[in-house]
Amino acid sequence: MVRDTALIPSVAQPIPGLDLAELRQAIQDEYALVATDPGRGFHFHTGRPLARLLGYDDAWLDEIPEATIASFAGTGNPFALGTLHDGEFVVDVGCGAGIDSLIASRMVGARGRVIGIDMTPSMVERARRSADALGATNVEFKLGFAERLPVPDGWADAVISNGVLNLFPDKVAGLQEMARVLKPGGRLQIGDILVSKAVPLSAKRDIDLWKG
Amino acid sequence: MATVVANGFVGCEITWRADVFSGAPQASSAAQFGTVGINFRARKPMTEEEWLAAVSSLTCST
Repeated sequence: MVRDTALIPSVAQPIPGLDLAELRQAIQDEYALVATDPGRGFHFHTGRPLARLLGYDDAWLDEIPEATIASFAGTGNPFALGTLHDGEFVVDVGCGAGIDSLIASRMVGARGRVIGIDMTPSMVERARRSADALGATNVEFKLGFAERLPVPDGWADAVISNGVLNLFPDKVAGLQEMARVLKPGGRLQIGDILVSKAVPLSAKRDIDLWKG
Repeated sequence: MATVVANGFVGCEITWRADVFSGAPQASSAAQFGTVGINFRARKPMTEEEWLAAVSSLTCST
């Protein structure tokens, strides 16, 4: 599919005065803490209580290692948007410690595949350990950025993500990458946040606000 | 949601929203900006024509 992007005005504009490298590092540092010390308390809820708040079925969490559940920091429930089917290929963008990837891996079964991608090394390590503990062989975790997903074109039946899109400094690039990796007709199932009041430029430049 | 459509999707729909930040262990800026958690879905169009139709249906507010 060829798109004349000149036809399409970008809705999400760069934010003047925001240092993207500094922002990305701050987000990595924050979520490294969620991976390594999830009980310390953050600006957002975490763990099993959060999963219940977001409508996760307790059965989905059966056998998932507690360390992965404890580091869960989503803002929605991608699985409430539709079932993942046996044999489907799924990409989990910003997979964190792997809770949604591991749930997805069971939904798609042995004929399916799941690729979880996260930019925080300690999260990817935790996710890999949990997959190993579960003996899950249809899921792999990769270190990478949402703006450059390490996934072939048209690979996925579904892209899921949870509490991550709002952290993308470049939302246009992130969304275009999600579209690139999906097959035609493929599904986007996202948990995220919505801001209902105008956010002043000073707040958009405040890295602490991006984190929580 | 216009951002989602403009960057390659159709059928964008928010299906759920809720306050997911109140009571967090540390004070959050979420309430200051009316921030809520949401679920939304969309679909990659089957054809270029399907996507262009979705883009053309976007409206601008002033």
